[in-house]
Amino acid sequence: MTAPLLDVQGARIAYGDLTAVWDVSLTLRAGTTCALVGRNGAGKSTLLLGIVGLLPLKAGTLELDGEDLTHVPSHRRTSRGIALVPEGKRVFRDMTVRENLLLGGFSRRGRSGETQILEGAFARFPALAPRQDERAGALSGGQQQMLALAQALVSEPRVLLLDEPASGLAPAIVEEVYAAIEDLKAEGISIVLVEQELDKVLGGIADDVVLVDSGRVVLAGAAADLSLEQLTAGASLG
Amino acid sequence: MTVVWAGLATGALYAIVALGFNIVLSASGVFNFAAPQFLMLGAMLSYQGVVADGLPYVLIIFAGLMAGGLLGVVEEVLAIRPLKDVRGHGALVTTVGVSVVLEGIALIIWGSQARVVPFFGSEEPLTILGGRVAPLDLMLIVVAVTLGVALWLLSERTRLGMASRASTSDRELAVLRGVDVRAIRAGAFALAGAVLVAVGTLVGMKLGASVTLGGDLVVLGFVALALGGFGSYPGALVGGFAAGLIQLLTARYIGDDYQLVTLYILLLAVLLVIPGGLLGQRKLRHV
Amino acid sequence: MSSPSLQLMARHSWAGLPLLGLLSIALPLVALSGSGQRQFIVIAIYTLIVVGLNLSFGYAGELAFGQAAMFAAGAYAAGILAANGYRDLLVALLVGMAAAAVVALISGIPGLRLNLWALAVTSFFLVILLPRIVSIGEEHTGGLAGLSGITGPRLAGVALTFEQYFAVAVTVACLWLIGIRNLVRSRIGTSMRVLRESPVLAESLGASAYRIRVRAYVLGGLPAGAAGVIYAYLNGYISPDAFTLQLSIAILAASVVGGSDSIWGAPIGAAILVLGPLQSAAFERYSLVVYGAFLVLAGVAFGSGLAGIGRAALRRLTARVFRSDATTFVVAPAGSQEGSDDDGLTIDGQRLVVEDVRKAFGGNRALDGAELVAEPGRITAILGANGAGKTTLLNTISGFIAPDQGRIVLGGESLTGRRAHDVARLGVGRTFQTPLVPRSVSVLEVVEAGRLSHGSVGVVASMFRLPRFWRARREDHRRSVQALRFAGLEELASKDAEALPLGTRRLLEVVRAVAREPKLMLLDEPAAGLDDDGLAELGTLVRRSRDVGATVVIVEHNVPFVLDLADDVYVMHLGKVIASGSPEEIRRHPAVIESYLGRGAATTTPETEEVR
Repeated sequence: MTAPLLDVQGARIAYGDLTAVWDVSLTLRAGTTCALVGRNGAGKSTLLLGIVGLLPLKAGTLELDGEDLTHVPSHRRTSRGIALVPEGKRVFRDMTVRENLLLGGFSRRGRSGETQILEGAFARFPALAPRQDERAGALSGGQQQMLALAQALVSEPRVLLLDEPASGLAPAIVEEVYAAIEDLKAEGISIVLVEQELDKVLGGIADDVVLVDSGRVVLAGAAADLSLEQLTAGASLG
Repeated sequence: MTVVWAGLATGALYAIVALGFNIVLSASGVFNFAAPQFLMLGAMLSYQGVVADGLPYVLIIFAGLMAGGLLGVVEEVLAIRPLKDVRGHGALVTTVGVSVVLEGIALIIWGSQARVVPFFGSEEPLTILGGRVAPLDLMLIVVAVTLGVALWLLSERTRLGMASRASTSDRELAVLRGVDVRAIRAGAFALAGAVLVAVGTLVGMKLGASVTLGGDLVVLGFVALALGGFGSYPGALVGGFAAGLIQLLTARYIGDDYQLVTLYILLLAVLLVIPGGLLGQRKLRHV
Repeated sequence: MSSPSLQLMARHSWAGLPLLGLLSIALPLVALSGSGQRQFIVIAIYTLIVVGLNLSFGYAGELAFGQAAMFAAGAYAAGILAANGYRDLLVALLVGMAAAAVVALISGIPGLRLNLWALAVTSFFLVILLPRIVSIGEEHTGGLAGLSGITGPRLAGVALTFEQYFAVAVTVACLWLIGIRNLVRSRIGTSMRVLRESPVLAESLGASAYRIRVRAYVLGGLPAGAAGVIYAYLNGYISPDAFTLQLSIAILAASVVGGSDSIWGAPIGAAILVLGPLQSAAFERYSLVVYGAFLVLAGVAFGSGLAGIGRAALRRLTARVFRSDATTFVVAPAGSQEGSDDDGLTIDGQRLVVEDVRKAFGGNRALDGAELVAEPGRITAILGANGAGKTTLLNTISGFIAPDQGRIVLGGESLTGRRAHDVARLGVGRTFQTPLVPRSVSVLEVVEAGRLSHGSVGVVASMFRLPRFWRARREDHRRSVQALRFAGLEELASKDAEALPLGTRRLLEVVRAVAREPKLMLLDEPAAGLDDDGLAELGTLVRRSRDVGATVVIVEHNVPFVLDLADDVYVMHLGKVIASGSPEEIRRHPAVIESYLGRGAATTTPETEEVR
């Protein structure tokens, strides 16, 4: 029984007077992928923001590999090994692709040189290499999402948080993105994935599934044990 | 040609102020109204240290760097950090407040009399390219250009510069990638403060050390930025020199009274027609 | 239920100012010496300048230093007129104010076009330029040496004694205080306050941010011009030394100390400004530091100055005297009030047609040929996952984004490419996900604000309280109460809007849209974060709006809520509409299932329908 890599207990997160997450616990074992599903407004993205520290936990704790990160400021969590790819193809639009990638490595403090960072990123996402001097804002939607992913990966996170990586992307690009996520799984990175496309979630990418509704956990278990029916009962068309 | 040199020298001052504004603007989106007062403090410092206390210039410049840096951080902590929305009205009011406070403190310490601070170099004008220019003016021009180039390199070629550009591009994303956005902002205030006070020691030698030195420069630094582009270091240089040239050429060929008026009309025209400035990539947020 | 006595007091509070005005003319004439009366006039002068700043800075939120320039404009106008033999005070006042307005326009427009930093700096520049400008016009202005001989003011042919001059000066100050107060408590004042809190909200209510700002700036300069005229005749002599940056900063500080967002703050701040330095000679020396410190504090704490403290104290006092009851907000179910068949509230909804709309941001195609039709008397819903383009479409229709291609037509009028405030004026009302409710405003005022752009009540009508103003105000009030009753929220009319729970504030946004008599209602994810009760109330309100004729377009994520509510449904994916029809058809549509649940689920379709 391995101790969880990421352990969230009893998290409560609020936006002003609106409590979005009431009491959510989530554990992630090393090398596994946990899918966080539920309809919009259920609190999934909010939970990710809490894990990465952009929103404070009004209650509850957060531990990474036994280390208590509950009160660590957000910009330091990257160097501890947590990286979030926010929803919506978010990159530094007025900076070049190359600069975007180098920024991903900002928290690494020169542990490896610029060339290595770029080579590593281009190896994973070859489509970015020929466009490395272009402004990120000029890239297509799919390429921006790839860049966002590549940028987060530069910091070599132990836990990668992905907020709807497929949102707003054409099906072909979605395939590419998921192929990339599969590769990351194979490399042993632990992932928390927020996703609306349920078939992707059950199609083998997720080891565990957590269904959230109105800020609370409704259902949780191994993906293998849950059926599409059970999930749709709680999710979108519920 | 002498007029051109004079214009460049005056323009150098404006460029320096514009660069000072830019350091903070491009790292945090805040327009620090109080920046020119740091120049004023540098000037008063050089009067106090060199004329009154007889200390060597090098020491004064060093002291200026330290004091300016510290004061910059203090300003950020007291007047910027507590604000909820840093890019909005609050910062306008507080930085104006800081500007007034600094002038007030200087007034209490040194009084309203303008003082002369002698240049440490020669006072003999040189003849270059057919025009006469005082060595002090030449030095100011060189300092402005050097500063502009140095800041540009810092912004474009260093990790720190990249991080600070990222933090104005998308603050949240920058935090997610490990950039300590707050420290960058405080650092920018410190850098701007240090640079401005240090250069201010030189400026005092040209303009005289007077507590009102900052007031006029606020506006003219803004003109330089508007002409050259908010957020752009090369733009600050181009805008500053252009403003200085236009001003002195107007004074020479049209009339003394018209020099500032011309710049004002130019400012209005630029704001109406090309709000982004000649080289600027960013406009001050349009609401 | 806030007490009727308090309401009575509020309704007649307008009487306070004229009363005080009369007192402030009569008493000093009796009680003070000549020099005391002079000081009083000086206070009146500064009151005029500060109240103008309060309007543009305190209410509209525009920081500027131009007051000294407008003050100078008025003074020089009076001086030049006097030098040429015209000493009639009324004429001087009118010309002085006009001069101030011109100065404000010239210096304000370019600055306001960019943003508020630019305004602060350009106005700063103008004040620095004053000596130069005066010097250029030397023959008329007396140059740097100054202009003298501004004596012997006359009014309607009669030379004024000092006492009479005193009365006129103080009257002018009081009239302006009343005028600005009237302005603030009118739609124009509301639009300024809304603008200050949220320019986006102001635009969506039909108010052009730019026009409001220019108007506030120019109006704020008029009293300064009047002040200049009074100052010129009081002194008999003017020179550029009187109109310095120092003065502008002192005015700003006086405004902040007295309370920038209050009318009473102006005389309070002015009095402190004038009398303060007299109390201690040392004050003069430390004045800058004190003013600056106040500014920093004000900016950080954003306090409302002394007037604000007074107001808070008054509120606490009256709350104790007229006890208001417990804050339980039970929303009466709509239609349960007596005689409530909506008082005949009808909404004149129009047909919306969206054709082939495209919008790309850089390489990202947010809208790729979106099309839809929304009919009056029907609820049209737009569904789609995150990033499908729903909100972009809504923003395009309401004018916050301009489409690259395509047409948007409402009831025969084209909305394509029009800016948000124009679109709002054409009858489009929209709500926002985060309810934009200005600070310390009652529920009724929130709803009334929705009618900002209905017809137009101008500055003059508002300031002088002409019949047109009262007609509009009565209509606003009637319609707003009607809309609140329609939603079953009438009980909450005088409550503080900010204190309400989220669900009720959401309903308020819809009510505000209803009060505008909109041709089209756009609801942006109104269900987000609501519990079951909130959803039920929202659904009821939206249905009732449809029943009285509104064209309702609702963008939502909450599929069950929408499928239950809507008449027509459009589903978007990647910027296009991939399916449209009745809720029943949509529930079964393979493309919908695919885009929501992914490809895998589509193949197991037969089972998913039963799952409810």
